[in-house]
Amino acid sequence: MAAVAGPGAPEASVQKAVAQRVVALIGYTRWPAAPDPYRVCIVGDARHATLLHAQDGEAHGYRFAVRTFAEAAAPTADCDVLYLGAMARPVREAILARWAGKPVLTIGEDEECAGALMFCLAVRGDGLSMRANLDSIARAGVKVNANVLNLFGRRKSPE
Amino acid sequence: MIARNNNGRGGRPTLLDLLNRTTLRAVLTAVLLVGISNAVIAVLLVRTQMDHNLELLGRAAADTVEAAVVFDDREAANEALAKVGAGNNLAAIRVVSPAGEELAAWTRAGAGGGWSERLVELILKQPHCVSVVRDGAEIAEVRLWGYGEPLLRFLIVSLLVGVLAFAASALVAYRMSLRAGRKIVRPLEELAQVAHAARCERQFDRRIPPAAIEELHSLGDDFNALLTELQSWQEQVALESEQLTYQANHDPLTGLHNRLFFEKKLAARVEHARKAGERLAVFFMDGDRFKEVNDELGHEVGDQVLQGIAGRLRAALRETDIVARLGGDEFAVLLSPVRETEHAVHVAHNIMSRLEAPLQLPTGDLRKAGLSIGIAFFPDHAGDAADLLKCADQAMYRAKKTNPGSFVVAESPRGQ
Repeated sequence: MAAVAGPGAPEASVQKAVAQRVVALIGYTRWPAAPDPYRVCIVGDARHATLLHAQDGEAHGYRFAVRTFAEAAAPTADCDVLYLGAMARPVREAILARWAGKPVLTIGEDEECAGALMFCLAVRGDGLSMRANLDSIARAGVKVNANVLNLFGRRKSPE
Repeated sequence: MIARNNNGRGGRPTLLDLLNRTTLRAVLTAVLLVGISNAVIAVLLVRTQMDHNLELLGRAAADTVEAAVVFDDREAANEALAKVGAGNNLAAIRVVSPAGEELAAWTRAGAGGGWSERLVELILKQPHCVSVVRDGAEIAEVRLWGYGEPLLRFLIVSLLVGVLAFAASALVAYRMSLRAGRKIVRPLEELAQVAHAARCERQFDRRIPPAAIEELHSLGDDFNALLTELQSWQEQVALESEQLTYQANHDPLTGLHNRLFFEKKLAARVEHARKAGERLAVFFMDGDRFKEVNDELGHEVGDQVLQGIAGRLRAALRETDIVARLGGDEFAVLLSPVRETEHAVHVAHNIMSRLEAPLQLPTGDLRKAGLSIGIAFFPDHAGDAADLLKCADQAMYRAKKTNPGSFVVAESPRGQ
């Protein structure tokens, strides 16, 4: 695994933070029908999400079913949460296009947070940063608690 | 506040002072009691309201800060706290993790450590804590500190209003007590004045006017009744004393002055004449054959004859001349001042001519009552009253001896 985390943020703490954020986002998201367990699909090179596997089973009062897919074999159904690792933008957009309008929470590892992703995680020198794509969230088949959106609303979407 | 220098005589407080002081004390007590109980109620209300307010603000802060805490976004948490804190009466908000780590904080600029904060701490448990709960677990605690400035302002305004209310009610009470006091004091002063006038100046005709207060009114009535009794008593005494004086100076039978009065007057007039260099004349008169009347016709007729003589004597003289019955059938006249002997002689002739006509007696008889008259002059015949009267007496005897019913002027002392 490439050491993307900065000098002040060892990989272990980044992993922990990623898992924590994903679980928190799930907590603030409402599906048309409450999933049980939450089917978390990790796609591609999710280098900071390895700890997410640890959530398989039961954690934080939720039940999780975590599966991993290759970029090429991205799932088109049976996912409540889609975690996309770092990948070429066209590939990612293609995967997301297949999920358009479906009740799925999409989170990706992306610095710029452009395109159809709802939430983006990026490891910076000082730790983990998270961005929201309000347009994508508005179009999504799941509803995100406004309190969470307030956290991002104050930060204008990049460019 | 209380005029202690306004004391009455002898260092005793006046009734008005006492009333004012009592009223002021009553008002002070009432206003203080009401004020204190109002203040306690107000503080309790404010405390409840502030507690409630802090609870609501705490919940609001917990709500807004929840997501930020979950996502460990301190910047967002601080902004959320600032949003809650700015518009409300809060001095500070802190968000603390269960482990005790401070996650976010907001402090009002200029707050902290002042009087108002200490005041809030005095009436309110500080800080007020509200849990931030996510999925049934406490993820953080919001701690709020109330802002005391508005409370301090409220208390100051309350205090000012209380002081104003106290001043206003004290003023009103003072005026009312002054008015009531006047209603009490004025009748008492009138009573005192009337009593003083009655005691010192014997003015029993003054009365106390009706008073507005029942007790004082009836007191005044009783006092007036007492004054009326005193007045009539006083009049009775005056009348009796007047009668006694009259009796002391007059002859009861004829109503003329008596010997005592005549001698006093004579002495006084002689003194006056001596100083003024004036002359005066004394007539000494004695009834002729009066003893016969008494013996023949009885004392009653004799008395009537004496009364008749007295009436004619009075008619013959001026108001200023003094005529007296000295006793028995003796009469005396004092003429003063007398400028000329002729005047006395003229008066003697007048008396005699008035006695010319006989007196009508109740028996129907007519009887002539003659008088022999001796006349003496001061300072011609004597140097003092007693000698003068004696001279006139001697002259009268000579008249009676030589020709009863005539008059004789005393002889001048030898050497003149």
